[in-house]
Amino acid sequence: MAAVIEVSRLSRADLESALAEHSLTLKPDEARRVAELLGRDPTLTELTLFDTMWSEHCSYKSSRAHLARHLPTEGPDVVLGPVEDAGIVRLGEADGRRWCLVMSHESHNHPSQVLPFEGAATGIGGIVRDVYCMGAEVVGVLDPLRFGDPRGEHADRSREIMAGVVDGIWHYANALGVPNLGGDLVFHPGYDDNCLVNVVAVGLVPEEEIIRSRVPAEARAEPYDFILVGKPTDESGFGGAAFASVILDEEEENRGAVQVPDPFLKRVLSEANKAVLALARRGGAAIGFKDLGAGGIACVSSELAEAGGFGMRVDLDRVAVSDPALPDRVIACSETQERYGLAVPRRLTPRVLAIYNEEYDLPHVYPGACARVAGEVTNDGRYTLTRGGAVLCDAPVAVVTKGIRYEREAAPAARDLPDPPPALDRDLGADLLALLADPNLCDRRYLYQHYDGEVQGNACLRPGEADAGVLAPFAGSPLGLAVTCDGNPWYGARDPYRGAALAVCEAVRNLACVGAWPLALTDCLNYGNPEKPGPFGAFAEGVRGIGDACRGIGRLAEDDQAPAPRHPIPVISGNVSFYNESARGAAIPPSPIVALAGRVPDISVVPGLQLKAAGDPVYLLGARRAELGGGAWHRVCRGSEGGAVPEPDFARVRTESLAVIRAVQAGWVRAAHDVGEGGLATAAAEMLLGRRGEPARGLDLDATGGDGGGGLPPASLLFSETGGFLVELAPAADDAFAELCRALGVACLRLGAVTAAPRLVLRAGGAVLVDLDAGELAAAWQGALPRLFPAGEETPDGAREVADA
Amino acid sequence: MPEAPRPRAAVIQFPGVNCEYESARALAAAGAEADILRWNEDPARLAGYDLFLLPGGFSYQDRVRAGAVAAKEDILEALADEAAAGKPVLGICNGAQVLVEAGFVPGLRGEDLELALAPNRMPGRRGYFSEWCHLRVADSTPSWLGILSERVLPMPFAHGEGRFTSRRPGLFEELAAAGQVVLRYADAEGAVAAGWPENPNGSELAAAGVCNAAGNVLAMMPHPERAAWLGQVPELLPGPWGWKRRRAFGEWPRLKGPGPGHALFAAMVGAAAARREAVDAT
Amino acid sequence: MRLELRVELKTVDLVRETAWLALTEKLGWAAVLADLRRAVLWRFELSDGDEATLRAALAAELERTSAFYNPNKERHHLLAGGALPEGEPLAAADALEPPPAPGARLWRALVWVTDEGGEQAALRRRTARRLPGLSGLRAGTLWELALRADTATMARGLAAGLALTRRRRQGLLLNPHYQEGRLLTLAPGEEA
Repeated sequence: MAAVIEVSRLSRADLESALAEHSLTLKPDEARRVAELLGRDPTLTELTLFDTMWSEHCSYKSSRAHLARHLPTEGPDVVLGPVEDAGIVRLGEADGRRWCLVMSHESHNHPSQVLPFEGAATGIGGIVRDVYCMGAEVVGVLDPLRFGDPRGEHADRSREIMAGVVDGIWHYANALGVPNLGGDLVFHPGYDDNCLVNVVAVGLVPEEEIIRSRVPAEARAEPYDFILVGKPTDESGFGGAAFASVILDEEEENRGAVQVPDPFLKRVLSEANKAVLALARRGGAAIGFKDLGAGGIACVSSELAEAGGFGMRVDLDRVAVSDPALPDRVIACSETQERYGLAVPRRLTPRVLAIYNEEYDLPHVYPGACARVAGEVTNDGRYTLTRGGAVLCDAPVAVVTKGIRYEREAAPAARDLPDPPPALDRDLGADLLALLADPNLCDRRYLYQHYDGEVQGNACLRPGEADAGVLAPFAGSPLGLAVTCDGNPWYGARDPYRGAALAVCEAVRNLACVGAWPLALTDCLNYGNPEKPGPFGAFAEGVRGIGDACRGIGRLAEDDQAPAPRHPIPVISGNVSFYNESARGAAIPPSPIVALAGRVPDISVVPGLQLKAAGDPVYLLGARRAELGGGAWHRVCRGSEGGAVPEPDFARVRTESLAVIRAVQAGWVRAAHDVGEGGLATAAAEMLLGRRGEPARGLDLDATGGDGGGGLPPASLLFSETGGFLVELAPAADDAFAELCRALGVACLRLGAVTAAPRLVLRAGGAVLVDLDAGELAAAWQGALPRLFPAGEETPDGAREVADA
Repeated sequence: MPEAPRPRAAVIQFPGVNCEYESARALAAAGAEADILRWNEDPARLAGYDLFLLPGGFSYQDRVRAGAVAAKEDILEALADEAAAGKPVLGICNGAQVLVEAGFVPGLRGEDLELALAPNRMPGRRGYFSEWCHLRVADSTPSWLGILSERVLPMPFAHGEGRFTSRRPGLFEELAAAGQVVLRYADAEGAVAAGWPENPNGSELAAAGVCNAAGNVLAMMPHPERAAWLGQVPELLPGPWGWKRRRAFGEWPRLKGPGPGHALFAAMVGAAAARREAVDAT
Repeated sequence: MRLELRVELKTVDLVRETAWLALTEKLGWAAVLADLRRAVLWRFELSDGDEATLRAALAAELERTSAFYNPNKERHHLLAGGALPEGEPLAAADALEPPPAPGARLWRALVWVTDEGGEQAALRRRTARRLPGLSGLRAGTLWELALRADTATMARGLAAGLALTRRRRQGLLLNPHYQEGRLLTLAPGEEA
C-alpha cells in the first residue's frame, strides 16, 4: 500500500492544513468519513479521488434530494432517465429503424470566465462526448449564453468574454462538424463576474445500438479489458470538478484546472469510435463505453465497473502519459480532454487497438495519443489502482462511487416589487424601437452567422428562422426533431419558482410553434453558493417550479391530447452548477435553463416564424394580462424591474400549445411565434423581420379585446409578457382553426392580417398605437448586436472595420 | 441492354474533415457509387475510381493554414495522377483549400502555387461566416459545370478563409477569360456580386469556384451538398428556389427531391461517366 | 519607435507539433531542421514619446485586456525597443530544398509571418486611447527555426525554402499570395 495520510490521528487543525497543502477541497469531517468508509487511513490518491467524487459537481451532494423530490424522470417514451451522462427517449420509426433521441446538458461557467475561448470549447467537447458514448451520432448543439452588462461598469471585460466564448464555440463545434441548432443570449449585470456558458447536445441512435456506460453482464462469462483511448494523460484539468465547486476568487488562481480542447483529435476519435462500435456489433460483443470527464481515469473506471456490478483493476503504469514524472494522483484523476474508457471482451482487444493506433493513426494525429489496455474487469467487486507495484487505492467499488448527501438550509427567495408609476402619453412606437435595439431583444443573426448550422445536411429550420431549431435527419421519412432552450434571469431574480416554471412554459410554446410534440426536457440549474440559505432557497424553488411545470403541462403526443395531463414531461438529464458567485459575494440571478426536445411527425408542414403572404389572417392565442414585472418594457423603457411577474398557467399552456401543434400538423399554419419577452408588439415585429432578407411584408393588427375584456391600458396590451401565440394562417383554414380552438376551450382572437405594405401598424380601442416603417424596425433590430463585438464596433466617424487577419 | 455501371466516386477523408457523409449521399443521389477513403489508405486504390471529392471540414484543424498540411499528404500525389488523366475532382470548402494549396488549381504552371484562399474580408466582422449565397455559373467554361452555364445556384457557405486572391497581377482576369472562374457570387437574379454581403468574403472578381485549365478539377468554397435536396433550401430564400421551396409546403416527396446543389453533382457524375465511356471505347 | 511583444503558449503547441510532423515526415526536412518553435509577435509602432513611459502604458494595457495575451494560457515578453530588426522579406528566388547531407553548423532563424494588410486597425484604435502615439499595430506568427547549414547564405536559403510555399512539396509556413515572411534575425546557434 502507498503511504497514507493519517486523517484519523491528526487534529482538526492539522488535518485542515494537510488537506490544504494538497489542494484538496474536502472538509476535515469528509476526510474522516473517507477513512471510516475504507476502514483505514486513505492514501493521497484515494483522498484525491474522493475529493473529486464528493465535489458538488460530481456528487450533487446539496442538490440531489431536491431533484429526486420534484423532477419527474419517467414516462412512456423514456428509455434512460438521468442515471448516466445523457438521457434517452424514443423518437419514432424511420428508415426501418426505431430511433432514439439522446440528450445531455452541461455548464462550463467557471472555466469560461477565466479562459473564455478554451472554457467554451471544452464545454462543447465534454457534452458531445457524453452523447457519443451512448453509441449515438451527435446531430446538434445549442448554446444558452449569459454575459455581463455590455454597457455597464465592466463592459469591456463582458464583451471580451463574450467574443472569446463565441470564438471558442465556433472553433470547436464547427470543426467537429456538429451543427448549431440554436441557443440564446442574455445580458444581465448579475453575470459581470460569472458568465454562464451552458451547452446542450442532441444525438440519434437506433434503439438496439444504444451503448451503456457500464461493464456489460457478458463480462461474467468471458474476460474483459479496460481500454483507455485518446490524448496522453497530462496535468491539465487536474482538480477540475473541485474547481467547478468553488467561488471564483482571483480569476487567475485556478488556471491549472482549465483543459486544452482539441476538436481535431476529437473528430478523428469519433470516426475511430464508429469503427470500433461497428466491429463490436459485427462480432456480437457487448461493450461498455464512457467518456472521461471530472475525476479522470479513476472516476471512469470505477463507475463503469460499479454500474455493471463488477470490480476493476487498473495499472497506471500502462497509461500513456505526457510526462512519466507526473504524480500518481494526477494520472489517476486529471481531467485531460479527449479521452474515452472502454470495457471490451479480450478477444476483440487487438483489433480495437489496431483501429485506433493504426487505421486512424492516433499517434500521428496528436503527439502521444493512443489506445492502450490499462486494466481489467474483475468479479470481486473491488476497485484497485496500482502503479510501480504500489497499491494506490483498494476499496469496494461501491464505496468509491457512493457519494455523499447534504441537507442545506433554504430561505424563501421571491421578492415583491411594485409597478413603476403609470405612464401616460408615451410614444409606444418609440418604445418598440428601443426594445428592438436592446441587446437582449435585438437580432441574433450576427451571432448565428459565426456558427455552422448546416453541416451534416439535415437543417430544416435554422437558428432565428423559428422558435425552435428543426432537423430532418432521415433520408426516407418526414420525421423530424425540434429543440429549444429557455431561461429568463429577470423572472428568476424576482421569483425563482415562477422563473423556472416559465422557462418550461416558454419551451413548450416554442416547440408548439413548429408543430412538435414535447418529448423530454433537460435542465442546467445555475445558482450561487448552496451553503447560503438565499441562493439555496432559490435553487429549491427553481427545482419545484420545473417539476410543477412538467407535471402541470404534461406530456403531449398523438395518444396524449386530453385536457388534463396523464404523464409528465420527463426530465431525462441535467446538471447543477453552484457557486456562481464572485469573491465580492455577488451571486448570479437564479438561472435555471431548460432545453426541450420534441418529435415533428412531418417536417414538410413546419412553418418558420416569418410572415409569408399578404392577406393571411393573424390570430392571437392567450389573452394579455397585467404581467409586466421583470419584463423588457419596464426594464428598457421605464427603468424598473417591478410589477407582477407572469403567472405560469400550466393548463393554458397545455391547451393553447395543443391547438397550435394540431393546426401546424394539419398544414394550416404559415408562420407561428410565441408571445413572451417584449410582449405582443415585439412578437409582431419579429415575425415581420425574420432571419433572412429584407422585410417584404407588413402587419396591421388591432389588439382591441386582446386582454379578454380586462381593460388593460394600451402599453400593457402591447408589452405585457403573458405567454401566448401569434399565428399566421392560410386563409382557407380560418374556420377550421376557430373550430379547433373552440373545441379545446382556447380563446383565439383574429387581430388582423398580413399586409403587402412593409409597415407595422398596431391599433387598439380605435387609436393607432404604433405605425412604423419596416425598414426602420429592421435598422433598430439588426444594428445592435454587431456593435457589441470587437470587429463590429463603430469608429468615431461611423465606419466599420474591414478585418484582415 | 444492360445498364451502364454507376461511376465510382471516392470521398477522401483527411483527418478533421466533417462533410464526408453528406457529400457521399449527394453523390449517390446523383448516380455515383460513393466510398469514403481514409487519407492513409493505399494511394494505389485511387486508380479504381472515376471521380473524386475532397469534402469540407477542418483537415488538421486548419493548423498552420487551412488546407496547407493535408496538401502535403502522399494521397495527393496519386490524386494528381488521376486528375492528369482527366477524371473529375471537386474540392468543397476545406477541400478547395487543399486543392489550392496543392497547386491543382488553377494549374497554370504545373503544380506551382498561384492562388490563396485567404481570410475573409468583411465589414464589421471577422472570422467564420456562414449564410446562404447565390452562385452564377460562368457563360463559357472548360469545366464539367459548363452544362449549367449562366444558371443561378443558391447554396450555403461557411468558412473563415474563402477569399480567392493572388499576388500575380491580372491573374483572375486571365482565368475569367479562360472560363476558369467557374462560379461567382451573385444576387438572387444572377447579377455578379458588386460587394458585401453578396460577395461574402471579398474574393477577387467575386470568385466562388475556380477550375484548372483542363476543366476537370474544381475548387469551390460554398457547399452544394447542403443544398442537394429541396427541403434544405430556407423557406424565405429570395429567388426561384425559395419560391419552389414554399410551393412544396406539405409535400414531403417534393422536399426530398433535388435541390439546387443536385445539378452540380449530376454534372460531375455525368462527366465521369462520359469520360469512362470514352476510355472504355478506345 | 517600435515595441514588440512576444507571446507563447504555456501548454503543448499543437500547431507547432503538426507543422513539425509535416516538415520532418512529409517534406524531408528531418536532417536539416533541428528544432522548431512558434510564438506570436505583436509589433507596436509609436510615433512619439519616451520608451519608458510607453512601456509602462503598454504593460498596463496588457494587464487590463486579454486582447493581446491571456495570462491563463500564455506567457509574454515585452521586448526592448529595437531589440528585433525590421528584417527582410524572404524571397522565393533564394529558396533551397533540403540538401542530402545537413550542414556542419547550427543556425537560428526568426521568421515572422504576417497577413497582407494585417494591420490590426480596430484593435489599434481601441488601444490608442490608452497608448498615446500608437501609429501602427501588426501581429503575426513568429517561427524560430534551428537549421543545420554550412554558411549563413545556405541557412537563409533553407529558411526561405522551408517557409515559402511554392509547390505542393515545397515550403509550408506561409502562402506568399496573401502572406509575407520576414527574416528578422539569423545567427549561429548553440546545440541544445
